[in-house]
Amino acid sequence: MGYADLIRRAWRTGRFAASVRSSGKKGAAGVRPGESRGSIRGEMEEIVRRESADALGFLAPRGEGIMKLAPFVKFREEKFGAVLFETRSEKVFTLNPTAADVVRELLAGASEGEIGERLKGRYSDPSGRLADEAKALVRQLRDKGLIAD
Amino acid sequence: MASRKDAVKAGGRASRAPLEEALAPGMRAPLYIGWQLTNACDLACVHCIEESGPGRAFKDELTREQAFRILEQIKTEQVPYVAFSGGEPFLHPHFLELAAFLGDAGVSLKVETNGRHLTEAAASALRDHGVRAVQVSLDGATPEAYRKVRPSGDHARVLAGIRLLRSRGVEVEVNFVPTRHNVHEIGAAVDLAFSEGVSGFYTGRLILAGHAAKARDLAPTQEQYDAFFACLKAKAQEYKGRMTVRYHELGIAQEVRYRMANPAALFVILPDGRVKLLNALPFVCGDLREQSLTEVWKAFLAGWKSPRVADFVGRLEADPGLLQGLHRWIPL
Repeated sequence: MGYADLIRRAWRTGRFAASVRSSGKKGAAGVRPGESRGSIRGEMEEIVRRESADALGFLAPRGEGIMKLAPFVKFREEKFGAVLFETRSEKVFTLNPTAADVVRELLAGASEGEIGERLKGRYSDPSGRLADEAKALVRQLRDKGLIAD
Repeated sequence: MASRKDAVKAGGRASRAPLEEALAPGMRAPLYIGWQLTNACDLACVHCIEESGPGRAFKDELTREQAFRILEQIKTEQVPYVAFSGGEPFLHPHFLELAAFLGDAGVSLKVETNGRHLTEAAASALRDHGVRAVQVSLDGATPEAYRKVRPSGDHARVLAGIRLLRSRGVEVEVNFVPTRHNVHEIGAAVDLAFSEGVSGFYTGRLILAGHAAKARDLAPTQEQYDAFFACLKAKAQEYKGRMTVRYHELGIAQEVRYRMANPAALFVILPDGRVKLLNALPFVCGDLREQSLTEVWKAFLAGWKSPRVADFVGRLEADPGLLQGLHRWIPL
């Protein structure tokens, strides 16, 4: 799978893991033997951030809006979840693991409505409130100027 | 929010709120590094708290190799934001090379400069290296007031530099330090910054440390400060949504006390690689020539809890003269 295809697949599906076939060989996709799902995911997220303008162009014809980090906001993974840092105001926002996952999904191109669905596979949701809570967090992020459409 | 399946098994939801505006104790590295590349400067400003000036470079400033070892760690630990200052960063022999490294690494870089070196080539290089912003010191709306605080400074040259940066799309911020000589020009200085396409105007109170501590009658009077902050409040409203006007009304003692209770994810690298808790405090928490960035970060977090720091900060309000010893560093 080529580089562009890998990006498009990641945006479309939200999955960053290379297939068994592609992860076992060196190639244009940049997938190397032994790379973990996490490292591939991190790399893909970085690509998505860097090339978000291209992402907008790709998604626009399908009528989907994507969100991205607001200008001057930086995201960093941490053991406890992640942090968002607004470099202008120097404000630090700490994310718990679940919130960090929501932001990762946003960065991966998930729309607000898709996030809950994507998280369901990873989280227990006995109250059925997962999607609503994810939307509430996205609103909070938007209100604080940390993400932009 | 719903918790991870394993967390549920272990007894419930994640304990922390999803999003908190706070520094987490477990953070692996700083989020912001202020790096004084050199103590040399080609101006000798009356209010400089770093006591920078011509010929004032430290004898043991970091070598190129040492600086790059720190940069590699900044990249590895994903420190998202660095500000190069000094002294005057343009006087550092490898300044643009260091800036290029950070640009390539995706680290946001701010450059704090006196504005004397913003040539066409420099402005283009800063743009090419993806510098997030250049903060230019412009403490006056007129050349007369400006020269009183920056005796050999050239107001017109600084403005020309700002225009070159803007012509290349580089974001420019202005820093203004109030003294008795220029405090009355604050409104005109904000207007001037806006007219030059500046995105942010930053100011606060004069810190009586370094050169400023030695100068007589430099600090604005209370009456002048009252008018200064009233003007800034009005200007912040006037330019809302068009230019950020940010000012700190707190005195340094209150500011430091606040920082002690709420440490920022920021530390300051001195030109020789030692690391300070804060610009306006004399405490040194590590040395990047001998320790890793993460080791110094841990020492930084511990340093803010040190009884010696608490004692110093407690005495600062009653005795602002303590800051006169800012450059007699105290290892923690």
